[in-house]
Amino acid sequence: MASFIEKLDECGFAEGCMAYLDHYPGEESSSKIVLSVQIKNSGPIMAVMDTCAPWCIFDPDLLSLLEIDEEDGYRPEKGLNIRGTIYYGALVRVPVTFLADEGIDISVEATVFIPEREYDSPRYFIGLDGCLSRIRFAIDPSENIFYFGQ
Amino acid sequence: MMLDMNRLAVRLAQKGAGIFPDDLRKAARVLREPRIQGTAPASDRKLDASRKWLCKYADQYKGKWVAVQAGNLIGAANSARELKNVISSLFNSKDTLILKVM
Repeated sequence: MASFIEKLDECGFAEGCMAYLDHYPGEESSSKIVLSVQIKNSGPIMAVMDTCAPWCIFDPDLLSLLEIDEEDGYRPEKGLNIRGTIYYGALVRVPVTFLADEGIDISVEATVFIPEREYDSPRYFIGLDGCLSRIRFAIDPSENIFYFGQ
Repeated sequence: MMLDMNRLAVRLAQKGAGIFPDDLRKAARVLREPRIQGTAPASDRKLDASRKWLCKYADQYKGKWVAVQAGNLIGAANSARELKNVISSLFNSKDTLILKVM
């Protein structure tokens, strides 16, 4: 499936890879990189890779079902600007696992922002500094493959 | 400090917790660099089939939460909680793909 996994594994860059969707389901008009990840002990979730997002941002409803307690987190006085609107909420530490189609899964303990109220956009964003900055990654848009390693 | 200024927030939380350990312990725990927690061999979750299902049929479920397993829809609902009630223990199954279609 992935043309470069053996080469990237040999040189120590990537240990796993997954196919990604190039748009969020239901939003075909807008190009994105949509990854398959697991949050804590959830089933696989579709999350938008967003290198502009300072933190991961996850849906408050689903997180409550995963028994992730906002009370364990830190509630800053300032809000976070999501697409031009300020949202208040809590920052928590949550394990986010990148789910490999080939190779190995990698779990990262990430900082995640949980807004107090719903926002009108895809439910999950994987941010750069709070999560992606800890792994190596590469994108092959010709095959829609996300390579990752530690 | 704006919450968007994440690198500054991490530095201040770590430095501040040394000066005010009682007040900033929680902030320092949350606002730190991400870390690798572990690795595991990939298992066959048949996610490719589920992603293909989404590309083909997601438009029919706009605004709904859906659960897809091995390329088959196993539940659709108006909220995550309702979906969990519909599919019960499959909600947290490692091969059940969950998402809200936009």
